[in-house]
Amino acid sequence: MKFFAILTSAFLLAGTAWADAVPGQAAPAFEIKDATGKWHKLADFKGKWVVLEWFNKDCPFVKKHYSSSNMQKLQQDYTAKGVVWLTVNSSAKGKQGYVEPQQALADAKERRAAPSAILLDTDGKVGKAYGAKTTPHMYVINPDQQVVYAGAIDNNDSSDPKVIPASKNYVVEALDSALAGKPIATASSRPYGCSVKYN
Amino acid sequence: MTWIRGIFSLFAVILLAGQSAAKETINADHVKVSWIAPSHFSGEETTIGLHFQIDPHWHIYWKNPGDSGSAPKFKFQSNQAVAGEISWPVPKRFLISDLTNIGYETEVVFPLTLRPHPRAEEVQLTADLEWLVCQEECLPGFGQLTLQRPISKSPAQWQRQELLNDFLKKVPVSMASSPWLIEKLEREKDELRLFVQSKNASLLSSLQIFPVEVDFLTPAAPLLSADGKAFIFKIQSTNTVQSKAAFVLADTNGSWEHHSVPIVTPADESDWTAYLILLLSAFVGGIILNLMPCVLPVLSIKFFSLAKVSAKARWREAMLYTLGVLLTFTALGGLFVGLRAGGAAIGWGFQLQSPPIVAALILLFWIMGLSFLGFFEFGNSLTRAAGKFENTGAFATGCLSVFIATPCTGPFMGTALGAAAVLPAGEALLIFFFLGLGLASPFLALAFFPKIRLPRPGMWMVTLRELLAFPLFATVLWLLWVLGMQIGTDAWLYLTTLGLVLSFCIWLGKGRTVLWKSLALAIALLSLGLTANWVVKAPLVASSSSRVQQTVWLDYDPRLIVESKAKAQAVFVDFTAAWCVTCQVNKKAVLDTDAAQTIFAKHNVRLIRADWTNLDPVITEALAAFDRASVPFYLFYPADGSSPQILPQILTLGNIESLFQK
Repeated sequence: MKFFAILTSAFLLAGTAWADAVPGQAAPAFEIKDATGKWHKLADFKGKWVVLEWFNKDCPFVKKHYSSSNMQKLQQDYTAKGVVWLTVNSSAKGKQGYVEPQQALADAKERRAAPSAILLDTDGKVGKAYGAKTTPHMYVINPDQQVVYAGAIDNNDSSDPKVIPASKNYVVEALDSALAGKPIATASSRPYGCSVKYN
Repeated sequence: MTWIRGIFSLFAVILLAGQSAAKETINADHVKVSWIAPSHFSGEETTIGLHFQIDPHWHIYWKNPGDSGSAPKFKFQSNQAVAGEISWPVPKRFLISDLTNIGYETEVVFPLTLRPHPRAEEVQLTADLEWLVCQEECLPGFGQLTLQRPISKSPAQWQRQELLNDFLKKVPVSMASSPWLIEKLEREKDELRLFVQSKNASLLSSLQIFPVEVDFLTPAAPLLSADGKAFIFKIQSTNTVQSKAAFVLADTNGSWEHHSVPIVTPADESDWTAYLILLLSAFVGGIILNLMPCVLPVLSIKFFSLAKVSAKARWREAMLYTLGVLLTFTALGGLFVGLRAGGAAIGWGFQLQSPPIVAALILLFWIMGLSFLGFFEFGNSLTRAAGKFENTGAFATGCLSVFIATPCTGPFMGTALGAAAVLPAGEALLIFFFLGLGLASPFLALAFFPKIRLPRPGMWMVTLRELLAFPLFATVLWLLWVLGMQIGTDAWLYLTTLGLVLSFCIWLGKGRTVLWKSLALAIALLSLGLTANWVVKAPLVASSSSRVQQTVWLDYDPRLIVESKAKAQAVFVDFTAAWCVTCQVNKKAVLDTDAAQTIFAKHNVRLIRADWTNLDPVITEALAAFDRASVPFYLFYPADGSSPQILPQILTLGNIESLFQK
């Protein structure tokens, strides 16, 4: 029976690669260090709304939302309402957007970013578990730890910050409806932006 | 700091805007954009173009950009004219890490029409452009182009008009003139199958298909189905599937946009027929298994032994055997389904991927062979233990048949097992059940038709039994080879030594006193224990040992396929395992012959062998991508980058030849 035990565990491990976070299904669990060195588990946030934001400081589409202060404002607004906002950096070492923890914190301060934590996913495990393809790729997770939104931040894939005021922000829509106890109209969209710089 | 930067960029914008007042060219990072337009317009509607020249290795995007990136954006303002919409020439796919992008490299011209107003004397067109140019990293670009031209009846001068015409020819035209017919677009769980027919008997493999603005389909190149009738697109699990889809179909003669293709889910009825066909093929596959060299010796002994017993006992025996087969098949199937449900990608034949099970089978066949030859009779004291194979052990024989049948996966079983790997649990189990029914069918026939006369018992049965010892010994040799592949050549030494010791023990205990018998048993158990310990601990070596044998074949690595695709080199992938008899036959009779190797060499085909002798999650996943859960399986990726073709499970040289006949 040892053989079957090995077999089962081998497959369980193999099964974790490239699963996707699908709206309506359980959010893939993770355990990861943030830029301050603190460990976070998805299960720690049970009972809270969680936003995952895939980030790469050098990506023009990320810059679009930071240079306009759009992303910072969302982070401030929703963390003030008790939402956990996690900025995830899946850039592998040596790839575009990779930063050491100290630098990540310093950059965030300069950007006036206000996420609950900056997660450094250098080996891309969390990104691949969620199927994160682009920066910014956004996920909203409900207090029961189910994915309720996955996709783009808004409906305009231009890299020009000027289009933001006229765009429909899917994350805002999802969170506002959810916090008001209403159903979420758009549960998914095509994520736009730069490819996540996995190894 | 930020405000300084802000002011600076404000200046930059003003500066740029001032400059671009009459700009006909934009020189941006990695991209140069310019007009292709006549020196003057005639007053008639004229097609002009926006020419993007892109640095080597960089690309811009199509209207459906793929997994990442974004399509260029055009905003036109015209004075004294009406500008039409931009047309999108046929793009190509780029692989960036694991992601697919769709777009253009080197250069592209986006054509559009311009119709001057009647009595206009001069037309003016302003284009606000935004684009994204990427290598792996991306740079956005913005800019404004203007075009100012008089209206005149005199012949106009053009520059680069041929280029504009070249790209105009690459713009997909209406589906009405398409030589391809879309029969239907069928949804099957997380796949969409696009059934395409050629109106002029062209090969489907010459076709490239791009989903248009369909965000629920993965942008990767679709695979051609096994029967070559449909292209299989994966559905993006994160997105909602719409009721319609549009595709651009492109071949070497042109391209066509097929829009509003309704998505159908197969009706229950046809679903059932398909499933019934699967069950039937499982049943037929099971029947064929009876004739396979792995099963035949064990089976025939049991079968003919029924000649000796009464009709009533015969019924009971046959039913017990059937029960054994069905239970074992369903149990293995249940394990298969269970592991799959646990998030595992698993394939058929996994029993034989375990060295201890192979070793146990070697010993079993060795001892059975000895017994068949009459080296020892299952005497008084041993009747209860070993005699079961012939008399009371119909149930055990049934169980055993299933185990040893695994390596003999036949032609009909591949489809059935592949389906079982993706069907819901209940339906998958029923397929295993039908395989079992097929395997048990000769015995079932005996049970339900007691009138079937078996030959009268006699000396011939002893002769047959002795004869059948030899296929058993052959099986022992083959399994030793398998074990050698799995854990190294020491396996031969250990297992044959164990065989020798056990034979000696049998001789030692035969017809002697209890003391001798106990000694024999003790030696047997000790040597068994030692060998078992070694087998369980031995590290797996399969892939390296098979490489020593064949240098032409590269070990399987998905990156090799991507790499060859980039180099426009064809690839042949042989999914095989040492324990798979059919695979070995194909290898010796076709793949490794000089004839086949000459063909491969002539067409510069990269040969890749995916060795599944031991458990290998990467290979299991690769098989699953084609809905397969068993070997043999053969894939051919043509050099032109079109969809891979699946070859039959029983290969002929003709199959290989036909890959290169166009």
